[in-house]
Order: sequence, then structure tokens, then C-alpha cells
Amino acid sequence: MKAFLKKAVFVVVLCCLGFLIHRTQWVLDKSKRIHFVDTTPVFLPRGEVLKWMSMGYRGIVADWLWIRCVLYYGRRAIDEDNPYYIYMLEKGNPEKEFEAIRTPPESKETPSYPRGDFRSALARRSSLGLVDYIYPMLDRLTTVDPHFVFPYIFGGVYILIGTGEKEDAMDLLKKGYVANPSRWEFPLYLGWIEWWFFENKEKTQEYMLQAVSKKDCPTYVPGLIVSLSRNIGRTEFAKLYLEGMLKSTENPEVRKQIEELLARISEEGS
Amino acid sequence: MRIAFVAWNTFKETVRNRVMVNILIFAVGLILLSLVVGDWSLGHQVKVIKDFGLSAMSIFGLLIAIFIGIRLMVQELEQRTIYVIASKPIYRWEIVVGKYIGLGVTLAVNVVLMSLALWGADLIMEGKMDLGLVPAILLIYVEILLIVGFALFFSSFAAPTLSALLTLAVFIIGHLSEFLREYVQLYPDKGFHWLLKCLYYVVPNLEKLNLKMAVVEQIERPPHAVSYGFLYGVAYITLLLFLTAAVFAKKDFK
Repeated sequence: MKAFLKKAVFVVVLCCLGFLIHRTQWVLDKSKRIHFVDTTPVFLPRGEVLKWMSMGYRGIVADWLWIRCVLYYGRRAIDEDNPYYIYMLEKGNPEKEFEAIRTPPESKETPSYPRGDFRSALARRSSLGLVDYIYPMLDRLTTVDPHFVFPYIFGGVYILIGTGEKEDAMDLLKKGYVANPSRWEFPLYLGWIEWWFFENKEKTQEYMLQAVSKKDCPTYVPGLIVSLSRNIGRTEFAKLYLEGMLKSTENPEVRKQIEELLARISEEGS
Repeated sequence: MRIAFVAWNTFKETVRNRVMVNILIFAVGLILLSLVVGDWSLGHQVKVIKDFGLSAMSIFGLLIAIFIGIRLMVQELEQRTIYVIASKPIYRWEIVVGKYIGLGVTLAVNVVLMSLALWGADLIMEGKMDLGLVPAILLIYVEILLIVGFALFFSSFAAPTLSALLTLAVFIIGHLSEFLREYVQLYPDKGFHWLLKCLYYVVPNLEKLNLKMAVVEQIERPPHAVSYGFLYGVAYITLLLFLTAAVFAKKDFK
């Protein structure tokens, strides 16, 4: 009888503790709010110092910085269009939670900015703090790990599209090109920025010609070069450039790529 | 034969060490956790898993090297079991080398287990095991052995806490050697640059044994990076074992 009583008391105490844990967790969940701060300064040392501090673990430090960038970007740029965004904000408040799920989000039109500097200014204003956080972070990341290619493209293309911050994007891609001269992505995207944001078609052509002389360059690039050269009347320049490139290239794949492009440009000229 | 006997006993003793088993379980857990962390990286899971795995291998290997390496000799002295060994027909240097080899084998088992965990995670993510990681893993093992060498050397004449601090200092300076050299080249007129130069040449440059980033991002390595790195590490280890044996030979066990 005594043993049974002991067991019963034990079970009752366990149940009480379980209830207490559940109740306190419920209260804490209710008072929880997710804060979306407008600007988060980057409280981190410069890239060179981070590189020094990482002591041989540069890869993992770069991954940590990258994940921070991705999470920041996700919160700023994606969540507001996400139907669960309001739900997350109102989590713990059941009425508003359900209301947020039931109500479909308003469809947002993609803003169409006028071309040139004015567009950049407008874009920066609505960049949700991306410019002030992401670019300094990407600069640190790419200093710690200069061969991690995707962050350059993320800053140089994706963030640029959302913010219009062409100077920062250009700097980042140029930094990547210096560190990874054999990659076709850098000259291709630098050329794209020169064409779309700076409207400098000659420079675009030069970058595209550099891209085509790299290994694994996409097959659509020669077509772009042919039509661009024809439009700006610089087919002769392209021919000379490619001939020079052919002399200094040994890779058979790249040589074939250049030779085919040269033939296409010569056809256009004749 | 006598060395093999000491090594075998050290291996049996260290394999049973609870601290090491806990560290190993934690390391393997962390490598598997990278499957989740990698998911936040916007399409770079494989890179994150490999970085995580190689770093975990190196950091936890270092922890095991410091904790066990220092206790290796100190324990024998504290428990007075050294009297039993030293009274046998065995040279003192044979005890040092045997102990070192025993711990080296234990660490090899650890590194193999952590590598298997990493390859397992890689297999889940990539559908194949990236054998290109082998050079980095080999040099991580050499680095751990080098750190054990220092731990053993310091513990032969200093107290355990001081030995741990000195070994940790070697690890930190070893990874900062490149910056020391750059600093000396940039500011040759500074009064204390002789000290930095001295540190650069005395402490091993552990960055020469670091191929983690190169294998993960498939960056072109300098020729003979692996073979020369291996030789560099082995030469340092041999030197340390000579020094440890010399100190141990003169040691008074009273």
C-alpha cells in the first residue's frame, strides 16, 4: 500500500511538472515577437582581420558569413512577399495568425524604374537596408575566402537587381575577377552591368570577348558578341581581339570556341 | 619489439579514455549536424558539409591531442606506474617513442571515424564520396601528430596546465606564421622584428599543412604541396621526439 502511494505521488508530481512546463512555454510563446530592425550595422572587423583571426579555418568562417548574408537577405527581401510573413510577425496571437493565413497576400507589381542614375537612387531607397549590410558582409566574406564564387555573383547580380547599387556590384565582381581570372562568370556579368547600368557598349563587348576565352563559357555568349559587335559597328575590333586571344590560348576547347566565333564574325563582316 | 609493446598498451589505455570518446561522439555529431546547417546556405550544402567536417576533424583532433597528449606522461608520473616501466630492461627513449606511436594510432582511428562520418554526410548530399578530400585529411592528421609532439615535449618538463597553454600557443602562432613573415617584410625597421623572425623559424608554419580550403573549392595547389607538407611535418615530429627523449632521459623520477 505504501509503495503504491509512493508511485501515485510520483506520477502526480510528474504530471504537475509537465503541466507547469507546458503552461510557462505557452505564456513565453505568446509574448514572443520577431523583430525586423530597419538597419543592422555590421559589427565585425575588416576582412583582413577576420582572415587573420580565422587561423586556418577560413572556409568555415566564410560559410558562417555566407549563411548570415543569406538569412538577412531572406528576411528582408523574400519574407515580405511570403504569405507566412504576417503569420510569423503575429505568431502567438491566434486570431491574427489565422486571419493572416486566410487572407491571401496582395500581389505586388515589380517596380519599373526609369533607366540610369535616377533608377539607382529609387532602388536604393527601397532596398530594405540590403545595401548597407550585404555589401560590407560580402566584402568581408570574399576577403576571407576569395575563391568562393557564388557570393560575388549574389552581390554583383542578385542584390544589384534589387538595389541598383551598381558601383558596389562592380567593385565586388572586379575583386572576384582578380582572384579568379579563369572563371567566365566575372567578365560576363561585368559586361552585363556595363551594358545595362552604364550603357557602355564598347566596354561590354570587351568583357564579353574576355568571357568567351574562358573554359566552360556558356554557348549563348558568342551569339551575344556577334550581334553586339554588329550593332555598335566594332566587328573589326572583335576580330583583332579574338585573333590575339587565339595566339595566347593553348586549351583546345577554348581554341575551338574562339575559332568558331571568329568564323561567325568574319561571315557577318563579308 | 619493446616500443611496440609500450605503443600497444598506450593505444589500449587511450582508446578507453572517456574524454576522448566524448570528444569523438561530439565531433561526429557536429559533422552530421552540418547536413542541417548546409541547408541554409542557398545551394552550397556540399561546401558547408565539407568545410564543417574538415574543420571539426582538425579542431577536435587538436583537443584530443592536447588533453590526452599532456596526460600521457604526467599520468605515469602521478600514478607512479613509471617506476614499473622504467625498472624493466627498456631505454627511456623507447618509452617516449612507444607512447607517441600508441597515441598516434588512437588518433588515426579517430581521424578515420570522423572521415567516415564526413563521407557519409557527403554521400547523402552529393550521392558520392569525394576522395579528393584525402590530401587535406592526411595533412590534418600530420598537424594533429605535430601538436601531440609539442604536448609531449612540453609535458616532459612543465606542469600540465602550462604545457596545455604552451601547446595552444604553438597552434595559434603556427597558424599566424604567414602574417608574422608578412609583418616583418612590411616593417623591417621595427625593433622587435628579430623576435617575430625567431618565432617564425622556431614554431612550425601550420598553414603549410592546411589544404582544407584548397580541396573543398578545388583550387589549384602548388606542386608537391602534400608530399612536402608531409615531410615537413614528419621532420618536425622527429626533432620533437629527439628533444623529448633527451629531456626524459635526464629526468629524475623521485
